[in-house]
Amino acid sequence: MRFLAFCKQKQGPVAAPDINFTATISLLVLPSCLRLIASILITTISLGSVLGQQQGSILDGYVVDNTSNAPLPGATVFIKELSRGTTADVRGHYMLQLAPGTYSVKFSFIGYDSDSAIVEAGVHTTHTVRLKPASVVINEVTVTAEKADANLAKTETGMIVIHKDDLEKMPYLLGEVDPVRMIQLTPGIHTSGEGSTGFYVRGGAVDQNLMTLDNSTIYNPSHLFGFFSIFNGSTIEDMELYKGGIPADLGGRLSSVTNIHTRKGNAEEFKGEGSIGIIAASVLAEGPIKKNKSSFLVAARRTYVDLFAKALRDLRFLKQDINYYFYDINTNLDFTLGGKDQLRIRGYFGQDVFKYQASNSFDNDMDWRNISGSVTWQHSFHENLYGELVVNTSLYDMNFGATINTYAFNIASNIRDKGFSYQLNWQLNDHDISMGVVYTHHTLRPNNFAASSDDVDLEVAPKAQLFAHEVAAFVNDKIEITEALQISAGIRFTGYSQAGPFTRYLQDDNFQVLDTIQYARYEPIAVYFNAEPRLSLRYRLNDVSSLKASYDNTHQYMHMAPLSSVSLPLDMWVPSTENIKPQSAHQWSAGYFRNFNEQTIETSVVGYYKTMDHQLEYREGTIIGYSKGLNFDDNFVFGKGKSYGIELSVKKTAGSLTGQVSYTLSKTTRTFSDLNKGKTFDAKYDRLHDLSLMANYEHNRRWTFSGVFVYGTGNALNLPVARYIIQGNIINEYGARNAFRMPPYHRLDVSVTYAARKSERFQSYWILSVYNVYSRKNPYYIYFETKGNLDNYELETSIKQVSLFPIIPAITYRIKF
Amino acid sequence: MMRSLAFILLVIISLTRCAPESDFNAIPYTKKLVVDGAIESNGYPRVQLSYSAAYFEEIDSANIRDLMVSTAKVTVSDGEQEEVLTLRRDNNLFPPFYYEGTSIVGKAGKRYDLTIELKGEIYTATTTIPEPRKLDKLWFALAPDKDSLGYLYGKISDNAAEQNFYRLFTQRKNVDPRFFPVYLSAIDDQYFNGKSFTFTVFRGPENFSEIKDDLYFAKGDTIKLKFCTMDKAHYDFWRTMERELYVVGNPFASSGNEVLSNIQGKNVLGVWGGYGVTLYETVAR
Repeated sequence: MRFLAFCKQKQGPVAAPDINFTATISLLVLPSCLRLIASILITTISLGSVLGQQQGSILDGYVVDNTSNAPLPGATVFIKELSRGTTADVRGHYMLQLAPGTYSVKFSFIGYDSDSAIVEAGVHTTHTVRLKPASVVINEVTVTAEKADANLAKTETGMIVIHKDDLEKMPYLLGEVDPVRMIQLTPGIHTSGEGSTGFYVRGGAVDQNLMTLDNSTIYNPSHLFGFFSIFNGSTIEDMELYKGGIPADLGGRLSSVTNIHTRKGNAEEFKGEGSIGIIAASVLAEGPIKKNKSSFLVAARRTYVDLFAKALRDLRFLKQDINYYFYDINTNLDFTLGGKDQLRIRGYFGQDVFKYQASNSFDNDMDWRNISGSVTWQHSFHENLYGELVVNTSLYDMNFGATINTYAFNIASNIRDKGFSYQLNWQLNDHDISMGVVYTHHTLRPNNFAASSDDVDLEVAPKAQLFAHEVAAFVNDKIEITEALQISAGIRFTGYSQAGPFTRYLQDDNFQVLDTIQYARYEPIAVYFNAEPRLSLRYRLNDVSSLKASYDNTHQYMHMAPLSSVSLPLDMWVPSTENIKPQSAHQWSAGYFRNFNEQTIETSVVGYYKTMDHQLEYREGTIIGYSKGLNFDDNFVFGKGKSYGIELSVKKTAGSLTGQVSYTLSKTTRTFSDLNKGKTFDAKYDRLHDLSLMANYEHNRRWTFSGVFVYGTGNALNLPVARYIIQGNIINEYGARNAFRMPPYHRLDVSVTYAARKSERFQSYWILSVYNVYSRKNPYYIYFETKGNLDNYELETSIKQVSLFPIIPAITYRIKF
Repeated sequence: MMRSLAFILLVIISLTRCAPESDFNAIPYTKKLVVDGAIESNGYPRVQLSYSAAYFEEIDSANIRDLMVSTAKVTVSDGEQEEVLTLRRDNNLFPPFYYEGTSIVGKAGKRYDLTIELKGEIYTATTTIPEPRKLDKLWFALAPDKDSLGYLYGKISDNAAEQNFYRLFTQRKNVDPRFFPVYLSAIDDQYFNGKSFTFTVFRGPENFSEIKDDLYFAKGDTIKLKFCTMDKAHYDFWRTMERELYVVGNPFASSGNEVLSNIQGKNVLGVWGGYGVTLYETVAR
């Protein structure tokens, strides 16, 4: 096996093309291909729940869009007589407890005309309001001074809610808006760098962030080696990210939970959207199945770079056959079943395909796909009690293959989840209680490596298919103790079992098998139980400021250890086993929130301190398919992590200029007994400074400008400290782990949108976007090159850096009707 | 409020000043002795000594001499006799000095101890020469799409009862000045233990710092192949050393890699290893 295994000679002038006989070389081809591609590329359901209470009276209802009936989460409901109000939740639902009487109520929402109503509040009054979009004179929308402030009122110390409208204010990149890029601009969240959709939340690894799309887990949300996420911006209703003060309903990952909801199709009339750009085209169609009762939404995207590939081969930099494309499809169906039941069906399918052929004796292909589906049934039992049943499934699947002369090899990984959850939400006086159960069955194949030569199927590692069960039960209560003080307390019990069939190889230090243990089907192999207490509190100091504090305990049973500084679809997910213990974390955070200028400028300062146990990394010098050990978990090592930091944020939410500035100052370290001689070292993603600026300026109804600037301290990395010569080979000696830093990451993106037509019936836009305006060469990875010759007694070492994406301008034409 | 903001800004600014810089020269380094010693079955012990250098220290003809070691006392013992090796010069090598024995000859199944005395420090190591093994078959075949270039193929029947460590070298007669290790020259039998296994020999470069050759042998080449067995510690050095050659700069490998030395002492790197050698010669046709 070793004969064919990875081989590479970065230390000298690159050898003749024929040397491309090994797998690593094909792996190495990828980044340059990426660069090439880059350069070529230039919940939303109304619930039937009606809330009531025994004494006093209740006013509730929904705030929805008057044409699409889409809920307007975050819309403000304000009682003039009482000078108090509330905001609509994600379903557009609002509720106020009042003394019986007559009130003047004002409903407002950014981008919509305000509406007022005189409401006679009896024991229980329902008032649903349909707001009209203010699209015609969008720059004249005034945000009412009474706007109550969700950011001050929420208990969560670290919760970010992003709506469709927020997304549309971001610069389009290559004609697309990407929700994950929006997440990366918020404080405490760092992009993992060039060519990755992954992000780091408060010093946690990429795998510590749960991403769900309509209640199904998405394990690798990346298209185009991470340039885009798989989430199609035009289908998104909203998303919530929790990184601190995480309610007990959510769990499964150490650092954050992001729930992305796609929207309901228009239940009143048929609508469409489409866009065409340099690299991709997308379409969206929606409409009623049965008017006001049921609706559909279908959206699809595809890149067509592959169509240009042939022509590009004539250009000097594309000698080889290289082919790349991705596509995805979202299908949403929504049904209103009587007054008390809602049914949501969501499906997603997306795939990336990459092919590369250098010569007759070398070719390489890689593809990965995400499939997810869920059915959600919401039922309102009672005025203040509703339940939600979700049945979901998801699949992430990756194949990497290469043929080199007489050798062929293939790496396949996948992870498949099937599960269900049931949650009850109960609002009772000052309590807002949620409780439920979750079950997920995981099936995984982590990097199954197959290799063959002419006459022999090489025995590399046994093909492992792994099974695991994960369960959780939780209860969480948000209690309004006084008007100023709100507490959210909860507990989540989690259980995990790795189940057979499974073969464990007991090996000595040389990986010689001493014994094997066979586990039968369904036999529990490694079982873990944990209780995760959560507590957060908010104290409202006055109308414009509040204090918040929280404690979170989280556990994680599924893991992904990135192999190298480069984020690739090859990074595999693995379950907890006897060797891989569940990751766990404690996090304390506290913050001060203050709004200015009549609540239109939101500021906050939040500090956090987090400790993490059973973190995993690869053993030093591991190469996929080359390293030893028959168990899939032989090449991992385990240790502890610590992270602390302070996050500052200023956000302007109203006016023709809106935007956000986020800054995080942080420190993240790891301590592993098997790495760095047991001494504490900076985590790869330790980032002292992380700054992001986002601005959107609506010049007039035709012209909108937006821009994003990000800056982050460079990733920590391992580089040699010394070298020596043995038989003419220059060998590196490494010093302390991650003692070096990559240059800082920074980038500016801008976009200009010109509304060519803007009427109720038809809208068209030209979008000019420029990614990486000043073509900053951000490091993707770094290596050294030694030049010279020992015969002449001359050696010179220089640092080489590979960057992926230079300036990429793009133009896109979008229509909506 | 504004005052507290100003305070926070001040804190940030002061922290910014101590932001880690990408200063690659900043890490202090103490040079180490590098040992490259071997004893083959039916051969004399041979040891080369040099020093390591900080990564960004430029090496030129003036300072390269500082890396050479020619003043050590190198002793080899086989348990029965002991011999101080003699310093010799070979300008084709780096460093251009080596220490060689004249009386102790390597024998399969024996243990050999190495002692190096240099500037008051003592460095020691131990190795063994395992029984040499034989190939079942060795042949040349043209590579697909090539008229005159091809690879050497070999077949071995591995001994299932023990763990075996192998290393391969080739030398083209009248072309290569000496034996060069092939690509991925150090292997063990983990993946073919007890099996009959066919492998391809990719001709290795003279060294990895300057690769200008391809991997092929040409029709008409007379090829000498040295098929060696090693013990575990010896194998671990070459395994990790070769891994380092492939890992460096490779974004598809985890970072950091310690080359496992079997030399004992303060600030020392390298290897002292015994080889059980079987030699073959074939003409590519």
